[in-house]
Amino acid sequence: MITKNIGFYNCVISERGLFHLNSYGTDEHISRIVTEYSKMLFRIAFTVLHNGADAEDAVQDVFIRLIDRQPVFRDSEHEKAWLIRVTVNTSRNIRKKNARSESEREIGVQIARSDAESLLSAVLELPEKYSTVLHLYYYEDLPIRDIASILRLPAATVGTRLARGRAVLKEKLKGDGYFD
Amino acid sequence: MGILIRSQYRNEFDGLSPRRDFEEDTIRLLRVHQAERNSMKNKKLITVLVSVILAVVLLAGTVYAAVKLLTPSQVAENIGDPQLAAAFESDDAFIINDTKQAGDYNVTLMGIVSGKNISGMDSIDTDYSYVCVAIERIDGTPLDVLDGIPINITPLVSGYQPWCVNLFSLSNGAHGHVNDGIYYMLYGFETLEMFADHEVALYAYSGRIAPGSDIFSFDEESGAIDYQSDYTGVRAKFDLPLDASKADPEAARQHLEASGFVLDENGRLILE
Repeated sequence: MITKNIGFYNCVISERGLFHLNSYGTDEHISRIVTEYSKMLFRIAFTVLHNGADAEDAVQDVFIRLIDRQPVFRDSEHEKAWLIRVTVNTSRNIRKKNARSESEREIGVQIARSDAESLLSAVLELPEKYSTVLHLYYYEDLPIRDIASILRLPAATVGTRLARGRAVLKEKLKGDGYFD
Repeated sequence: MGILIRSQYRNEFDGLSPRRDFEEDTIRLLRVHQAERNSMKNKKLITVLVSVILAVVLLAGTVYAAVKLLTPSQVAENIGDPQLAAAFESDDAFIINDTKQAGDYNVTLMGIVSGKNISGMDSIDTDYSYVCVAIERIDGTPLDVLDGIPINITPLVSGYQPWCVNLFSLSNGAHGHVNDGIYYMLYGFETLEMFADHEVALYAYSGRIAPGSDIFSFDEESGAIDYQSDYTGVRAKFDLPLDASKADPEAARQHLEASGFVLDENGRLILE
């Protein structure tokens, strides 16, 4: 195995002639992605799954997929967008596959209801298609066109979901000081 | 409608965080996963080696006969990418099978396919081009996996210096394997179609891995690329059939600028 440094990349050439231009899977790479993205991806996964353990599983799945697939990113924004999209999709798949028992689901609901008046619980009670868009917009500060690109939706659809989600929240949180 | 206050939203969601040990646990998990991947790669290598040894034993004492090449789709299937295999079967693929002599080797440009989401191994929202190449010894001696890639292959784009725009600035990785003594390579590139208003060709060369000015010449006036007249290594050039209607000079400019190059108003690279 030969490794050569070429610009930002390691060119790894194996005995089989298999080579990659990247630094995936090195200790430095693993530490960087986990430190930089764990919390952000966890919050996004939680917005879809409403469950901390499932959200952690989703985030770890995403990191494993990143190391396995080794996509080449133009820059850090491209990397971030890829991670967000894969997190949303992975979380949606976990939600579908899990077929949770009602009792387990109830725990998640109770967590949300314990602070029934909070913005957090109100967002989590929204249909997922609204809560994801709201989260990416209000927490991650992503513009509508970037959210549209990440979620592979028309920008107009993102705008509509944002407006509808906001309207529902406003109705739920009337007079609680969350809106200007 | 009132405006949802972003700072309020953030304050509430800041409270959502994974377990305290989550990052540490995840780093450990990923390191173990990576170690397992490396171990699997070594096991696969051993399997391939056994296959090659068997092939050599079977061929010993017999005249090595030319073997029909795999198809690009079969090559993609063999590296475990059925999505790319299907793409090579689609109408978007160019199946070429053009063979040229390069030193002691025959190099065959088997095919090329470009587009979004055509490989299971890549980012799904980016256009890529995949080029399939076969390399075999002219005298029929089977290639051995341990020989490594016997010759180097790079795409070059007229109008851009070969030492700037080449395999390394365009590559998205490559996969190789040996089948019946023939080396098959699948190269992934940032889509080459964005350069379709230039002459884009695949060049075989030998010697050092970087396609430098000791191997290639570049005409600053016309942008034409050729082998250096005093270069004595292997030579083979394949023009790549790209859909000219998909040329995207702006995307090409953005790609080159994102790669750290500086371009003048005519799109030429400015080198210090």
